[in-house]
Amino acid sequence: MIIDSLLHFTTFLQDNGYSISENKIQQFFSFFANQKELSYTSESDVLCVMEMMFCSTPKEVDSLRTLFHIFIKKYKELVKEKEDFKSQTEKIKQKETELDQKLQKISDKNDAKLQKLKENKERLKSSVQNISALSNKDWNFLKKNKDMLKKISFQEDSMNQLMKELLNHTEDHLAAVSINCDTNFIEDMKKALTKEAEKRVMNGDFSLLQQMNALMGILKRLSKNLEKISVNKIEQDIESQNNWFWRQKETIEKQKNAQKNEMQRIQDELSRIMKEEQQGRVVCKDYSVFHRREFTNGKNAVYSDNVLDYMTKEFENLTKSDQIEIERYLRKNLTKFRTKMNRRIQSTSRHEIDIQTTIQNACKTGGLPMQICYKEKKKNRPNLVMILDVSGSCKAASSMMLTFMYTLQELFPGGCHAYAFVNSLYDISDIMKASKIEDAIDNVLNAIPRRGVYSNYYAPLETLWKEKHNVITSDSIVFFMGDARNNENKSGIEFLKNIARRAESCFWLNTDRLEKWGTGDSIAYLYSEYAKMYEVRNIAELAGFIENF
Amino acid sequence: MIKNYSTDKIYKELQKVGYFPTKQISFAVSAAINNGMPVLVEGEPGAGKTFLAKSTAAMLGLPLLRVQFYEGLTADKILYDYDYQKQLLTIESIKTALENNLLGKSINEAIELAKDIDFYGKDFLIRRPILEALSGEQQYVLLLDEVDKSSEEIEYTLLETLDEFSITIPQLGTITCPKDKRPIVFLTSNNYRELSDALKRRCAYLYIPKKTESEMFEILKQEASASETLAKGIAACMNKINHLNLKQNPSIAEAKNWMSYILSMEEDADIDLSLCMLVKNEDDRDKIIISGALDELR
Repeated sequence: MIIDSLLHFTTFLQDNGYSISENKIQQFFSFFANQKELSYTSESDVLCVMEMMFCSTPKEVDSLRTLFHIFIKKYKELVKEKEDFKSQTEKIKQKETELDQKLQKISDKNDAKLQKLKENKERLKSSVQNISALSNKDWNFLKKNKDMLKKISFQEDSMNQLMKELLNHTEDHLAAVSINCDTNFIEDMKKALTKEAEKRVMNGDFSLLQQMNALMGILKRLSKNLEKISVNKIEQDIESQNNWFWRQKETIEKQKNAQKNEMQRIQDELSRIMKEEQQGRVVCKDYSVFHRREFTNGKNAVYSDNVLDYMTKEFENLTKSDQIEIERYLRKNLTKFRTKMNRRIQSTSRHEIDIQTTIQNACKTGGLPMQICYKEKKKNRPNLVMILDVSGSCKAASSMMLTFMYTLQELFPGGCHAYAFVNSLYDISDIMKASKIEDAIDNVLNAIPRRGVYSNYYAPLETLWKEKHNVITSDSIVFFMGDARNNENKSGIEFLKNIARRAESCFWLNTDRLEKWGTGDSIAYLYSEYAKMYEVRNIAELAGFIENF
Repeated sequence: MIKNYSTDKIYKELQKVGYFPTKQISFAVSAAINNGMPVLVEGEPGAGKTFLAKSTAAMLGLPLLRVQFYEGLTADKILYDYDYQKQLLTIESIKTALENNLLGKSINEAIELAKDIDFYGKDFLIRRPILEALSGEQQYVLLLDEVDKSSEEIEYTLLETLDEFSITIPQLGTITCPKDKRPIVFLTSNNYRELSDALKRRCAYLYIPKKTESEMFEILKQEASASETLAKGIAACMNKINHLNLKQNPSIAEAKNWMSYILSMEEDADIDLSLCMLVKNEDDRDKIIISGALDELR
């Protein structure tokens, strides 16, 4: 269990930019195996060993503990979530069985009822099988003796009513269907009829006896007919019972389906979690300190999300907060830039044999080359000279350049000289060295009078060549930064030519747009003859230039 | 091979030889001793990276082999080399004997005979520090100091050694260190440039943070001649100095020297004068005097 979660933690770390090989994980466990008195349950032990095995920069050591606590929190949540899901599935299963039981009960009940009804129906069916409805003969009899039968009257109104109905319907043969009566009622009526007949016989009135007798027969048949009708009714009942049952069943099925869907959802969720757990992607990646993937993707710098915004923003549009962000970004990636620049600055020449000297030395030992001489490595001690235009048009760009160079100062063993100018040259190296980066740039900009003066390239170039030319040696890398807009002043190209000749290399970073070079008061093309000129309008371009120069 | 050094034991033993480990440090040393892993130590200059290797060697009673890396270092200076002069002299001295032997032989026979002479045997091999550490005659503590100062290629030549404790010499074959004589390897880096991932993958990592005031006090107290009040004062003073944002932050070794220098000074001498032991820079010196950090000692 603990080992599982530790393994999950390693994948979590990998998501957060740590590079952990399987080998390291193996070593992590073998360390514990070798040390009997350590245990996986002690947080401080585990963290100590993890720091040792999984980290490779101080930054990673710093963030490991925070990450560990975040992970533990999330892992706990996950375990809880899993348990929740499990209890939910239990509940749903219980509900399902309950529903099943209910359905069983209902269908049992329904079956019993239906059975009863069916039995009833069978019984009635067999009894009324041979009996037909009131025959035409009966109806004809009723029609013929209508007037006679009207004379018969019962004590109860309902019976009279029935009689009336019967007689009214002699034309359409519809009687008794719509009459509200049942077999018992007809039995009563039969009794009443017999009483009436007896009464009439007692009084010596035999006139209606025959009709009454016939009516008796009709009533008998009607009663049977009614029984038959009640069979129909039972059939109707059965049908309604069936309908009711189906409706019930449907609702239960519906409920069951809903439960099943719920169950399916939970099971899906559960299996997803299990799967993720197996892959180790337990905890989501919303917390990422620095994403290694971003710079193994062929890029060598760590971009945070919003860096990309201001990377391509033009210098003039950068706000103060952007600049602070950029500085932070530069400092974060300092080692990266340094490593990359180092490769270019430091000489790559190999250990080579100096054949000439070796042979010369061999002469002393009778032709045997006892002493092998190697070519002395060319001492490569580049120094950096920056000349920055800090007039209004280039101020933003220059301050970014200063930031860059400030952070890279120690790369140049030969030292780093910085000059700024608007219309005359100021040495700002001391300001750069003495103050912190945040203040340095402000200090520089404050030290140089900028109000009411316009850039002039002639004077600074002249000063640089005539007074500071000992700064520029054959190891120097010289940067100019400015828009090469000279306000119709003298160009000073002869000084630039000399500087470029003496220096190892000479670059001009132009903050002007490429298509504007040479237009108006720009003398970019003149300068570009001696100094390689690049368009640099945002941080991305500046960083790209510094990486590749 | 030295075995069964538990982390607790390492913690105590390191203290005995005058090194004050943290839990992390004792764990890392344990990984080096018990698991045979090289340990990459990083930290600010003066954090005691090199001293850790020295102390480990003292603790285990093993000799320390120290290889200082610098720009322009080549592999034949740290791994192995062939004694070219010896080879040449040997050829010269056996020349006549060979000529006599080969007299009247056909070319093929001569080649067969010449095969017997082993010019690339162990006799002609010069053991540079890493080969020496792997030779198996003696266990060493091997310290590869400031690996980041050399070029990247050198790192790659080290990989085989760090991985398998062996060196492959094309002319001779692979020399593998016997298991019980494997060196205990420390690498240090100032993070001057990023080390390659390949190297980092093979090492356990130890970051030594700056010493806190109390840790510093513990260390200084250990010095034989130090009184407790002086040690405490210096520790407090160093703590203040470290926050001054100096160009060169003085390390513990410098603080120790400083303390012994103060002890050797006359009682009433100005303590400002003793700063020559601590700071190597005019500006820093002024900064310290202005900040009043030295008041802790008066």
